[in-house]
Amino acid sequence: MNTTAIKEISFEELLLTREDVIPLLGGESEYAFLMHEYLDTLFEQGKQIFQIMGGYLVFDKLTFNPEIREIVIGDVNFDVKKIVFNMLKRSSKIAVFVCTAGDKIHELSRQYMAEGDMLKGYVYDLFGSLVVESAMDLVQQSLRLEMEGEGYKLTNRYSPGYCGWTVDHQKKLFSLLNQNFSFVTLSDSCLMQPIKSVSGIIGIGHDVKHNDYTCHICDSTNCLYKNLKKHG
Amino acid sequence: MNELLEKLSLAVESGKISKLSPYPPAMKGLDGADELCQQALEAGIKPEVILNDALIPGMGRIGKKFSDGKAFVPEMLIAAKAMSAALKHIKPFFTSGEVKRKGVFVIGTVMGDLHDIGKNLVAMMIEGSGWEVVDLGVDVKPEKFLEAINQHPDCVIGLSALLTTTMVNMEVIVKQIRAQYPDNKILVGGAPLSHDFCKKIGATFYSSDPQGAVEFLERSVA
Ligand code: B12
Repeated sequence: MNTTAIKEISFEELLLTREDVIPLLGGESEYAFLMHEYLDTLFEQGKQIFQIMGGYLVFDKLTFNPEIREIVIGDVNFDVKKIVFNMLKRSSKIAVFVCTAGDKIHELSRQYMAEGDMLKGYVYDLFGSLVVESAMDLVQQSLRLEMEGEGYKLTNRYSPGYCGWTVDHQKKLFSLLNQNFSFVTLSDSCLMQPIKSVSGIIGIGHDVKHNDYTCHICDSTNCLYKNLKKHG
Repeated sequence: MNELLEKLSLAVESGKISKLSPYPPAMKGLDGADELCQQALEAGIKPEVILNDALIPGMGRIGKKFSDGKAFVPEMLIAAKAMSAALKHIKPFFTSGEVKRKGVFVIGTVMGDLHDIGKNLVAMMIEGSGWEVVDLGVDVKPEKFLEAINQHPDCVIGLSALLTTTMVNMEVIVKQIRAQYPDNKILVGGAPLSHDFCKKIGATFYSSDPQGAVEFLERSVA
């Protein structure tokens, strides 16, 4: 049976600190103090700004076709390419996930930019990305707890658009989700709204691996997070 | 070079906005781009000279540092703020026609895409290099680009996209522009793009960062 878990996550639960943000903005540089004021406001008002929702749906009806690196989840087939296929091929179940930080952070960011405060807008934008990734860490954590009880382990999370897996597959991925996931919608061009959202899959099995450090398998050359922190 | 212009150029590059601004700490209490630009005008230096010999080179140096991985986005944004504090004094001369811009640059995030941080950075840096920038916003349809070219016949066009699924919309836009305006230059950029893709869709130039675009525009007016 497919199990669904969706939850609202409060900003406080993320336990974010300045130390999580500053490295993404260039480290403890000479100009860091200019951004502290913005970060103070974000930490103070985070509770009102962020509407964080995340969830997953676990599928156990799976087929793996190694010759074409295809994974069939339910009745939907995904040509996930080599890296993702190899990481997931020993899974007994696969969780499809979505997570969002809500619309407001993007709106505020662009409002500040339009008012001419590009730096503030940029800090808000970056913070929004950090929030959605951290919230997804929590969603993944609760999946791990749920699955550990049954003796399962999890792989890292993988998203359409990464590791050679095409973004087009967002449509197929969303077709697997039910109306409980309507807090994130997908446009014709495969753009999720709110902008600060992530989607993807996680493998679950007795014989799957989680890599703490994943940058070496990723093909991105200009990633903001490259080698900065562990993710997924 | 004139000492005042040198100071002004450095103020822009370092992001020293005005006398009161606390950044950079090493320039505390000194005049910023705002005051220095005013002083340069009062000293009788032509606005065009101020723009070309101080402001644009200052912005150029920070753009180059970013491009070389020696500066982060925030430093570029702070410099741009200093630049606009100075430009405020030059703007009346643009309006009167005494100072001419290098040309018009029309930029937009292509239809289907809402990502605009990169586009905004590019727009800002190109404005700081002496161009008039017309920003069409996000999710821009081909018709809107055509309309803008109609209004600014000699403009250079910039297209931005952040996902491979919206990058393909660039091709549609480039085709439609080319059908009516075969000679306008089209610049493309965004995380998933490449030189090959630029060539394939018939755009003029691809750059992975704002500085590359600035340098291309520089060559194209030379
Ligand atoms: C932060 C981030 C996110 C954040 C926030 C997104 C946002 N922008 O708000 C979150 C975590 C939410 C996210 C989600 C996703 N992301 Co994302 N994300 C990034 C990341 C790490 C940085 C983007 C960014 O803000 N960069 C900073 C700005 C300043 O850079 P920029 O926009 O690229 O602009 C620069 C240049 O490109 C250039 N430029 C831009 N436009 C133009 C125009 C012209 C004319 C010129 C000359 C130059 C130029 O100049 C700018 C300044 O240097 C990139 C990787 C990367 N390094 O770019 C991936 C990336 C954009 N994401 C990617 C993907 C796939 C996704 C998701 C689809 C994943 C998923 N399934 O969940 C989702 C989609 C979200 C949605 N709403 O649909 C891919 C896209 C590639 C692809 N295959 O299409 C990237 C490239 C990562 C990768 N795989 O390499 N993402």
